[in-house]
Amino acid sequence: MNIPVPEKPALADENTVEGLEAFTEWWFELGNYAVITGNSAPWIAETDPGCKNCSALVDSVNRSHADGGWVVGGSVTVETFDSKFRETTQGSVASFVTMSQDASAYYSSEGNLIEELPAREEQVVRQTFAEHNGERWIMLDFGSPNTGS
Amino acid sequence: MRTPIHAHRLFTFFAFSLLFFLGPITSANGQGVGVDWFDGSDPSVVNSDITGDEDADEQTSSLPRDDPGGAVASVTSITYTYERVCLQGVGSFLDRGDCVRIDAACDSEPDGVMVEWIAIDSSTTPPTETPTGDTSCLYPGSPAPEPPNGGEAAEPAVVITLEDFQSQPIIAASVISEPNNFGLLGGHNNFWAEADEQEFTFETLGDQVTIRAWPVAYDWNYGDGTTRTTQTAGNAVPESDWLLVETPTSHVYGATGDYNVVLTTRFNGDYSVNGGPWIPIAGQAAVESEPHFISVWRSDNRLVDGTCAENPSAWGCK
Repeated sequence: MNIPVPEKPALADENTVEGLEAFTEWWFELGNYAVITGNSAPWIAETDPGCKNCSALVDSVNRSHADGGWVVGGSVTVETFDSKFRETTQGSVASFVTMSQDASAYYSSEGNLIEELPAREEQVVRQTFAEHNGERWIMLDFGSPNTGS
Repeated sequence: MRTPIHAHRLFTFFAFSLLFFLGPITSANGQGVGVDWFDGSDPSVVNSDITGDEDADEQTSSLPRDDPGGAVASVTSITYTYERVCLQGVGSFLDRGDCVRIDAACDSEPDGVMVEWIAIDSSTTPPTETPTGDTSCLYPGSPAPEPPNGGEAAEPAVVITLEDFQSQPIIAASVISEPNNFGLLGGHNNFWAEADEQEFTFETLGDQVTIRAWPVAYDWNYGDGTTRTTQTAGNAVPESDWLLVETPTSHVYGATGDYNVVLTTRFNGDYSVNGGPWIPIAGQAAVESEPHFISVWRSDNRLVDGTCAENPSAWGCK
């Protein structure tokens, strides 16, 4: 497979809500690229090492591609993006995304189906935190918003 | 310099151990390999993840979480309030569909509202309000959520309850139909609502309270046994489309007759004390509009020729 690394949109470095949206969508495309190709490097380059959910995804990508395994499907799509674009107490900007995910299948190097995950068509709400360092955005964290009361 | 751990209360969502729990299909190491961006859709699964992640977070976090003031502000000058993540139309950055999905994540009780914690630093004049990015769920009739990291909740001088909100004189929506008060059997009779955001300001014990109410949902009762809830108020259509074009709020009657359409508009509410932050009220105020009368007629089309003077017994002549 020869899949090109998703290209960074021109807007994605802008410190505006539109720039953050472009960055966020591109960041998820890089994540999809990692899942399919096993190459997480472009995604890691845009992600803060403190993002534990991101490290877990990288581990998962490495595991699924270990020993010549491969992956079909599983791409997530950002359906909606919303951000109040206000700096939080931690200097980041919080956004909400709703996402769906294609069905995926995982194969061993011998071509045996190891695991299948169903598509998620219902939109799942996730929160992202990003920070602009003066030149570009960096994804700091990603996960479910806290629903505790 | 960025802190090494960005400590938000976010939760894990990967199901790479899915097979381990499901059993029958296992890879060599007994662990699933699937890359799932989301965790189980079952909220209880999500909640069980929360605990584990939180604990791990606290162990590895090298800085106090959500320390809003840094080294400058003293700890005691920070209190927390919360605001809606979704304002649904009030100066909103979110569209209504997104709001419904986001609030739907607060599903452990009915009518949950997702709120974001705001740190108030009262060591400055006026106090500064900074969002924390940290969220909680608010449910009608339940105690208010606890601020993050054992922080202190800002206590407004006046607390407005759901009952207080529901007792405000909220002006009902007007119902409009096209054509006015007249419908056709089998036609798409278009109804829509006109409802405004409203504010109520009063003084109580020297504190000024402002309550704002805005429409978020419309419960239509078309008077023939059909009911429907919409998030849109509906809208007018060009006269050339009257009765022909279906709208999200239009209705097709199955029988001729006179009907009263009754609309109940549901409003969300926030309040502000002495110009402070807008505090969400969990729950809604339902306001019923005056019944809207519509007479549904049958239409019959015939090809006719000549005038009634020429042929008084022809169809449509009397």
